[in-house]
Amino acid sequence: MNQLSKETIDEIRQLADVYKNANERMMEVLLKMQRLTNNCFDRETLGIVSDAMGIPESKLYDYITFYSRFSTEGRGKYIIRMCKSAPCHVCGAREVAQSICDYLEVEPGDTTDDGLFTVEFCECIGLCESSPSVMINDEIYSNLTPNKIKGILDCYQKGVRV
Amino acid sequence: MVTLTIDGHNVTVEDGSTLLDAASAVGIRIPTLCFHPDQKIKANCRICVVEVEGMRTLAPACSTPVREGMRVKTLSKKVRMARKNILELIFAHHSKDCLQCGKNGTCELQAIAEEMHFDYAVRYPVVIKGNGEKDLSSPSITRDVSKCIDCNRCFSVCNDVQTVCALSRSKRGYKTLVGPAFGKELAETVCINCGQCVQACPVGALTVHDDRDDVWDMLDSDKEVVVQIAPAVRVTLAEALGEDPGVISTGRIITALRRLGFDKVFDTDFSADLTIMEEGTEFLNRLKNGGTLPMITSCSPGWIKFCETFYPECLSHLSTCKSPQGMFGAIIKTYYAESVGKDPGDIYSVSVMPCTAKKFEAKRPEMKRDGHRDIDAVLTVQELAKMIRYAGIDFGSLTEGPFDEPFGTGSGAGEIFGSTGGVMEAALRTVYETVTGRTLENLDFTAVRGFDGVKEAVIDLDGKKVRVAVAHGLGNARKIMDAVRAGKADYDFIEIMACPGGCIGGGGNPIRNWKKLSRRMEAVYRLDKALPIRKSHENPAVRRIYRDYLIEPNGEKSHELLHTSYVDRSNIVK
Repeated sequence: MNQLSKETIDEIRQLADVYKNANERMMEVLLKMQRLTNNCFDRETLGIVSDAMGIPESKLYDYITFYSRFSTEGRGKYIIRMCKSAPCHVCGAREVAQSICDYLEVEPGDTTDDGLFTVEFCECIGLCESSPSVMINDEIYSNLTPNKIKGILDCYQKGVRV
Repeated sequence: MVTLTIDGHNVTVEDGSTLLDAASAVGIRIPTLCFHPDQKIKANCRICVVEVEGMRTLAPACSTPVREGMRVKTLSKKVRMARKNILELIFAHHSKDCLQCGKNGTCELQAIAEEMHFDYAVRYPVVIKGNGEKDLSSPSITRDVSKCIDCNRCFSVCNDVQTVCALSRSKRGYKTLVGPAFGKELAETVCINCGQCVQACPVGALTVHDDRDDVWDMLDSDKEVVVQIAPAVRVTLAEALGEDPGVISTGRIITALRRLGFDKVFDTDFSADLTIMEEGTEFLNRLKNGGTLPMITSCSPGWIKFCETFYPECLSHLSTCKSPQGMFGAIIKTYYAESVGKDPGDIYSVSVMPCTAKKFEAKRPEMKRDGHRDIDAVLTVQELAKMIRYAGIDFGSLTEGPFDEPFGTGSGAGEIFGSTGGVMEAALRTVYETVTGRTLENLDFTAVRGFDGVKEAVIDLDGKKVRVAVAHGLGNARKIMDAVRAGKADYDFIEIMACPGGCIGGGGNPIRNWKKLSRRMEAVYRLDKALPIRKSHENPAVRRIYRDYLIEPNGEKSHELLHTSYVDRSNIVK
């Protein structure tokens, strides 16, 4: 369960005001909120968001369970989204994915024990020309090889900017 | 107008009609599941697909608009194969234990499968949703996710019509699930128990919580089992047993209840009249003494829970009167028990209601005294119809019986409680005569009748103008309540009913649509016209109980028995 600090709740409220002034920015606002809340909207968090945005919980739940970038279950600080579409696949995405899972000792869908990474498959992220690609939160990493990705993950673990 | 050909028949329909409308105009009924005549088009079940000449793929009849010169086939081999395949896909996720299903015999999916000679052989992996457990948490509604076909009809009525938003859609594709967010049980949600989702559900995923077994057992016991029947029940029960909508069957219901073994059959119209005496007096007191206005009616338990959940700051606007069911319950366990010399514990009090939320109301902690529940069991019209069928009673051939005294007389004012606007009209009849001291010449306040979502009227009480409003369906109630909360509602007295159409549209009735509702409404006003007494304060049974027991409306005894209090439930939203 998320224990949100007062500061976080205030930030959620500020973001909710952005939405209230411009309903078309719902996706952007929710993505920003999710970053404040351990990359997940659990029951308590969604209740707070629903109250702040003035949208019934049932409708928010509909929205966030429809899009794969949102989650209702706790995830790591960094979400590794591994493209599983055909172009990446033929360029060696499977080996890269295997390398990520082996290195972090998790299965796709899992979160590492230290809570740092969650590893997920995703549909095409539109970077076919430089495949295979993965996204780590909002950063894009392309032309990957099994070795290259290990170096990148290593930087994240050490907290060094890649 | 547009002319097209359906299965070789020429048909001319209005521009903007759908293929479904056009087919129906030439007597062709295309099977539908997600389509509901009172809801927006969803076109997600695909069972209504037809072949349109020149179109690459099959078209859903419910959402395809007609075009000039279209040639449509509704039963070609291609269509039949597609529909069979769609049924297979539905049954790949739908539990087939029809014999144990509450909708067995009335299920729309079962009917389509039967019509299509579907052999229930499914070529796909069968994955039934849920863990096999039904959600029995709500006293009003039972949810069985293994039956859900994701048609979204319940979602539509809960979110768009009632604006309660207890039901959500989650995920997508194979994983789509319609139900409360986070897999919560219904009782944990903002559900207000109105049962409109039960009315909308084509299958057995949402059904009325079944209390028949408890009642059967009590009918066999030594207890005195008394029953009251609500105003709307007499215009919907015959329909539930296969007769036309709007058939009035008061006398036959009484006979049927006696045959089932109920010891006393009372008329809720009596306590509806009592409600008018209490609520009318309360309103006049508020008007005179500067109490909280507008005052809002409190007969509809779904509406009460809605107000407690979404408008807790407006609770002081609610009349403190119990609903007619609640008042009757209290009177039976006190006045009646005393008058027949029985311990209230030896009386089992049943009510037959058009309403699923009444089951919730009966279980509220406020609705009991000295350890005795005011109402012990609530049966909906659907459940009573099933009991009558179970008992093998030929309802059509029953003779008409009279209600039992001392609560066997109701007025026309009590009767119209069944329809939207009825409580307001009944109250106005009494309030007018009380204030002016004159006899009301025209009893029909037609401005508050009908199906408009929000109705308004101004009544002249000897110079004092009383502004009233009537809303039915909670989406309409929300419009009024937002104004009340903002202090901008220019009304003195408001009637709100949770269900569209009022009690005749209640969740416990036979499955309905607006067409059936208007027949039921006509019947309610027909009953009112036919009754010798049409004003609550002229009901002799009501006069007697004030003379012998209650002394005066809003008096000490009334407050103890007939009035109640409300709780703030807004924390469930947050």
